[in-house]
Amino acid sequence: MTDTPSLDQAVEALHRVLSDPQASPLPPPELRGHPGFTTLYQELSALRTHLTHICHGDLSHTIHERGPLSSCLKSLQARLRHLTWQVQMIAAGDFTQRVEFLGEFSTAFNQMTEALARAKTDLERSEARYRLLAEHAADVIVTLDREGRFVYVSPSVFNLLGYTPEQLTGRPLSDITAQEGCPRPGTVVELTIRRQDGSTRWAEVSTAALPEDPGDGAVLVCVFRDISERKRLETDLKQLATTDGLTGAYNRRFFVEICQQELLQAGRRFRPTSLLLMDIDHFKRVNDRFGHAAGDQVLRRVVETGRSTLRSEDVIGRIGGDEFAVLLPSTTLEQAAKVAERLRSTYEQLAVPTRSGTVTFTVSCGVAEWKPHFQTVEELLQRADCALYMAKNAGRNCVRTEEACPGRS
Amino acid sequence: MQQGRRGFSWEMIGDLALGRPNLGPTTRLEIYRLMQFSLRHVLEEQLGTEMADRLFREAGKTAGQAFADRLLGPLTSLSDYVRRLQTTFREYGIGIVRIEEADLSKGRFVFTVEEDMDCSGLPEMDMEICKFDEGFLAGILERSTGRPYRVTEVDCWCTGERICRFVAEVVTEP
Repeated sequence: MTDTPSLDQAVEALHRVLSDPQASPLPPPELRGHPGFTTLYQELSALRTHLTHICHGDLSHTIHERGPLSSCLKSLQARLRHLTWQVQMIAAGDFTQRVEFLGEFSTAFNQMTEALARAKTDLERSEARYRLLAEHAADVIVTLDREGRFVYVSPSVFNLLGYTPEQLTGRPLSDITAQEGCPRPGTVVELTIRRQDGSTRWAEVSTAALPEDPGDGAVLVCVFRDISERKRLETDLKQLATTDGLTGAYNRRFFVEICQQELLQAGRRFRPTSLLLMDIDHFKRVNDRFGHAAGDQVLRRVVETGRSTLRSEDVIGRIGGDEFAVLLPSTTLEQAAKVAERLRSTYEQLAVPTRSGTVTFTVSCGVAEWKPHFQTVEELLQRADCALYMAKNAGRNCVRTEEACPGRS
Repeated sequence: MQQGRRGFSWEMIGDLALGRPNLGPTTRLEIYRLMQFSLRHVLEEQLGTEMADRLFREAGKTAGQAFADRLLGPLTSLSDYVRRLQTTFREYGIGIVRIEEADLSKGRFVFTVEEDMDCSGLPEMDMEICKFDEGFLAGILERSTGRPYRVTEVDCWCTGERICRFVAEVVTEP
């Protein structure tokens, strides 16, 4: 009788299946002689294995056993697999998935997906709104990556540069500007940009850092505003403010300003600089005889002829009605006198055809050289004016230097 | 009136509103099962179980195709299609469908159906009984994807489960 397994042994074996993690999948050898008990033991053991898999999140295990307990496990497995699939669909962007399982979990899960769907919709609306703004703005809006390459380019770039957005995407900013690398965030700069046809335009470029990498590598957003027209107006205004409208020569105020800059540099470099004052002889008679229109033509020709006779670095200004001044950098008094003589001779031989007849005229010239002890440009102008006065006194159509002035040897 | 498989059309269902103004378009599920199991009984007796299963599968396929044509339409977006499938199955009282796997490119789906119209609540029979469902799902998938599918029921209420699980795989052999 001692070899016959007792009910207590069977109960103990089944208890171990439920309580001992190390329990064998097979019943103890002394109990295997009972086929019904062995099947029961193995089914319980298998259920424990299935439960362990599900507990560990492994839903791939195939449950072969049948019966109410196994079917409950299969139902649980099926619901969890479906939940997994739903989460995968949400991860792929489908926020319409709804869960009908696990009570509070499903409520929270559905609220989460609804919130995600709303956030996605809001984001899409927001992006659409900003994209609409970017795509319809007259300014060109671009984003740049860390190397200064275009990531996004708004369509209005075609009007500004003649390129389509696709032609610029991926290319460096330096392809259209002299700018190397990225502009600094928080700056507004004016620069010239090259169009596809080779011409240039002026642009004001405002740069800001993007709050965070939006995923396409962009770190900066720049707004290019075409300021070519403004620049042209500025140039025109500057010209109006600095030049004489009739002749194109610098006006007195700007001529003096240039003289101050030049003389400052000349003093630093110990370079001689001279100034020439020139006055048309009896210009009033030209106006009286040929009219003011003819007189204006003469004034224009004085400047045109002067420019073609003088060096490019020489500066010519109209400082009075028929009085002109020429600043001659790197020129001594003696060299300046020769330049003045050449001008005088050229004008003497010049004939200006006008509607009222051909005008001939002469000029008188006074020449002075900058001295280190001079305080202002006006002093130099006074010295040259004195020399001019001496030339007029000498009968006009001649050149005199400051050396002819009283008090000079 | 002879009706071939390809001859099925929804007109055969008739005008339910006209014909049943008081009782409406629904009937008790046990009557549906009464018809199905009495039919199965006759077919098994006359033709054998294997042939009866085959006929149910074929009939299910025809029904699935018609169902897909009328109520589901083509599968263009997987999530949208699954939602339509779930909604329609629930709306018509066919069962609660869930998806365990869906790989359109590989042509493999694993569905589970809870509260199945054909089998949920039946006594255990030690065999999968939902042959009509197998054909029904195969017909739906074939019509909606344009590719032939073979559907096998691997778990069934009648084998002691509480869900029916179907594995659908595209038929690639000629």
